[in-house]
Amino acid sequence: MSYRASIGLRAELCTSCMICVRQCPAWCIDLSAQRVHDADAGPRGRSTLQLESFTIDYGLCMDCGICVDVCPTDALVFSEIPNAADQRPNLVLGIDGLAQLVGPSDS
Amino acid sequence: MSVHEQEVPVEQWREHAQQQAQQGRVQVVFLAGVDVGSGHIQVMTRLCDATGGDAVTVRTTIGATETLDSIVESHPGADWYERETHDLLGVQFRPDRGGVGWRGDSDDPPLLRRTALGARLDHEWPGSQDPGHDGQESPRRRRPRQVPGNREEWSS
Repeated sequence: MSYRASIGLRAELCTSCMICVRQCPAWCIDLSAQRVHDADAGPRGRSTLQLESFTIDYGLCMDCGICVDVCPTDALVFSEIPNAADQRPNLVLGIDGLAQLVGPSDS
Repeated sequence: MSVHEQEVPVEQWREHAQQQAQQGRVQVVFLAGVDVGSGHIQVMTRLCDATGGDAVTVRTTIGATETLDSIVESHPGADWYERETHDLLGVQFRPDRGGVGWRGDSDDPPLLRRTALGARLDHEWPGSQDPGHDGQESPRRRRPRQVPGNREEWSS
């Protein structure tokens, strides 16, 4: 099946590159990350971004799929699991909520 | 432009629609408009026959202060679309039957380029932040982030 029920996040693949946030026409994605320096990685060490929070506001999302298309690591995936909420604040999903939307075939 | 796409002057809009109806294209698939810039709005409609197989797209371009003759007389199905276009783009149809009652957060028609949407003004663009950077780096290295297609670009 290929219908678009919602969008899930595999947080372990996200590099916090911000491409999805900047491409989203509905401004519904927000993320924050912290820079972590690993001094033991190579002669000068290596800095990486560690994802702290990632939210999609499904009250704004229009399922256009641009974020899924532009994600360079395929961390964002279309999900067949429908997403619904009884109150407006519950439409804002964080890392844990978005992880639950990743179907078994996508993980 | 193919035979199935026609551009007509504003003053021939209604007459052209009547001709289409006489040729059997009596149904309205849609009627909508686009703000093409420089204060002009392109209005287009797709008309088809009862089977839907024979269709034509008709366009016209009007200025901000011009009125457009309604085609409801020959195509009653255009009524809702004309009201919607009136609300969303501020197009004045003649005779004027008003809009569909859309109420936004601004008096300006929301699909005009010059209209600033409240939802965009109230919130800071999420993409403006730069995770892991404190803003103290050389300005040469970090280019300022701007919303793609900002309002200055829209109105030009």
